[in-house]
Amino acid sequence: MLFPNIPIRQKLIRMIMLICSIVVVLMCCAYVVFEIITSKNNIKENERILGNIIASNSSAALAFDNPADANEILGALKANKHIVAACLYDKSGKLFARYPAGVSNAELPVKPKAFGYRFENGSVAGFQPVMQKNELLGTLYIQSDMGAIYARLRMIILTAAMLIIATLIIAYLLSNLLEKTISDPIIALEETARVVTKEQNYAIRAVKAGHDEVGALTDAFNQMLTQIEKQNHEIRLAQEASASLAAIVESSEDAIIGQTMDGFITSWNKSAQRMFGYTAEEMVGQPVFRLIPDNFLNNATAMLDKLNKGEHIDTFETQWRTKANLLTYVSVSVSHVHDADGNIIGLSEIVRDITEKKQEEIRKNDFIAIVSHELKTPLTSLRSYIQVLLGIAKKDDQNGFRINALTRAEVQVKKMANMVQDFLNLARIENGKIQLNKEHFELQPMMKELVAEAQFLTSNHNITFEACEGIKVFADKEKISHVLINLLSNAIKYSPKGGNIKISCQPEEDKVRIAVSDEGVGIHPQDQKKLFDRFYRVKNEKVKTVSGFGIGLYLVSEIVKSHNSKIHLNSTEGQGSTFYFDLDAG
Amino acid sequence: MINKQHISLTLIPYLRRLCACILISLSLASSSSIAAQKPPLEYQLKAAFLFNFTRFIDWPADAFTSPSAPFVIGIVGNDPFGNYLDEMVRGEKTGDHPIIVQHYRTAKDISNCQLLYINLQSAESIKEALSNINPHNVLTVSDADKFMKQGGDVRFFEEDNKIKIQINMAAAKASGLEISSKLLRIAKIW
Repeated sequence: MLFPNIPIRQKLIRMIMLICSIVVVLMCCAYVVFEIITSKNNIKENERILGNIIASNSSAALAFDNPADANEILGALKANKHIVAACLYDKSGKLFARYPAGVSNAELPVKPKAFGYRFENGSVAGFQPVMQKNELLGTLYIQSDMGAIYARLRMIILTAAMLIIATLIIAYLLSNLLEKTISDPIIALEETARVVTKEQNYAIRAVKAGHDEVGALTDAFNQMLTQIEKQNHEIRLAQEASASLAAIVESSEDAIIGQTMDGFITSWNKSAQRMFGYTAEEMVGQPVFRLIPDNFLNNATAMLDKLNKGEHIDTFETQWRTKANLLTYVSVSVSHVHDADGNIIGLSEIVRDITEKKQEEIRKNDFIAIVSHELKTPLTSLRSYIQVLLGIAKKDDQNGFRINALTRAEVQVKKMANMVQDFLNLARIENGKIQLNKEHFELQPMMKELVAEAQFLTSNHNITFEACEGIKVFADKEKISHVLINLLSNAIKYSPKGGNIKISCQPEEDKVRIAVSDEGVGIHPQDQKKLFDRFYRVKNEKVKTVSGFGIGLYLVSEIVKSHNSKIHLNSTEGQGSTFYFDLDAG
Repeated sequence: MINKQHISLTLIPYLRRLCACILISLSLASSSSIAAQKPPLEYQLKAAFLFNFTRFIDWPADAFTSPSAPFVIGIVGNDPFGNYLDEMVRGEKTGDHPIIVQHYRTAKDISNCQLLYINLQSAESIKEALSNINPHNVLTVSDADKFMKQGGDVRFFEEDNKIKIQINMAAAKASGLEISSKLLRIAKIW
């Protein structure tokens, strides 16, 4: 592109001037050349005509040998001031007459040459036959200079020059006037654009001058401005919405932590700072694992994996570490953050300080433990005394009533001891203090003992065990006995009409499945779901009178869980239930 | 500015040289050929003039018996031209008329011709010759001094060493001949 940096006005004017100049100059040159050619031909033609006339006139002078007359006739050539020389030759080629009178022989051709007119050495000259009635009487020679051409050429060039100048002046004036039709709309548009940019005011619109390309450009420009305005408005709205949401997050009492799917913190609100002591600058971009104590890290990693697969995680309670390296009890709920298309773009964690709640719980559990412990002591001595009395009564062998009464008393005491033990275990589990003492032991002897103990509690049930011979397991003996006692007492409680209660042992690869089944009232599917929840009691017409705190199955579940297993249930209402779980084979 | 004097001056020696050349060639010619005998220069010129008259004068059609009848140059009196004029006109034509030369001894012998050169001395013989011809259609030429007065058409005379022509306008007009103005220009008009 020619001259890209010159203003449009100048560009247009210069181009018009350039074109005009070239065109005018070319035209004048062409005309001058044309003129030169035609002038030369004209001179030749004129000379030929002149030659014809003179020749014709001088025939008599030649025929009748009258040089005086011939000279006179040649003298007529004076009329054309460009004729420099002329002469007549007679029939034998000798000079007969000459013009002008004083021209020397040297300036004239010695003898006539071929007829015709030619350009030679800057002049036009030629020979012309002098004829009279087909008789060649002699030859005429005429020579003229090119003065006529030069004079004419000078005049033409002068005229051309003046014409060029005049044309260029007019062209310049006109171009100045007319270029405005192109440049004015463009400059106006540029002006508008500049104002818009400077003032950042997108409400301005450019004025459309015509319906040509510049008009189309103006329309496009205005459309863009409208779009920018609209987008700015939307951005403002989005910013406002975002600001109000941010305010909500900031003002929340709970810590709200935004993180990437890899666990790097993206947002950290005021409560997070209050809870953990780190500022947003310190935590944003850091891995969230900085807050998690070492012993929980494996769990945290596993959870993150689950979340990455899109799985949902229930709210859970754990301990996190503050800046001051203190462990704080927190309740954490994590959820996926979706974008407008539904893709997961991050995680949002809401962390609540549950220290007080926890402390409350601990106090409660401690209380339960203390109470249980306090209750246990008198029960133990009570139990001892009853056993002693029972021993004596049995020796006596006479008073069946005493034996009966004492046996029943022992059962009740045992029952109470179990209950207290349950509470103790509950408290321990709650406090996380449950301790497993796993050992290898045989199931058979334990089953015997347990079945016998359970049988004491009932008379219209038939409690048996089977296939437990020779099977060893690796587990906490005391805890598993407790589990089985609970299951058995439940079985008894919830089959009021009696029936069979059976414990079975089933080895499977490296596990042993232990099942307790009864023929009792069964459990409604709705209840099955919540059966193992703490304090849950079934609301059933048939078993309204059954006693219990609803902690037995919860404990069973927790103990089995701590053995890396799970308690399962098959039950049909009206027919019975089977509880089963697996233990590691010993 | 060069004037006519100068031209004459240069011409005279030129003519003299010409004469010398002619004489030499004549003597040479006479030794080689009998037929090539040229008349004196004066008559060579006059022969040329006679011939050239056919170029500058138009004879009407009724001057001839037929369209292809010959154009006769008649010479009455002494024949000063010898074969020169005959040679000059051989094969020439004026229009469709072939040009021939005829010699008449006396005025009485003059027959049909278009151009008559009267080479007679006495005024009576000239008069006789003039009356023997049909004045129409014949151009009469002579060297005689009083030829114009006698009613002749053209007279040769000498001036400044040159052969010049005098034309009797009235006679020429009466003879019905068209004389070219070019000829009239160079001629002395009587």
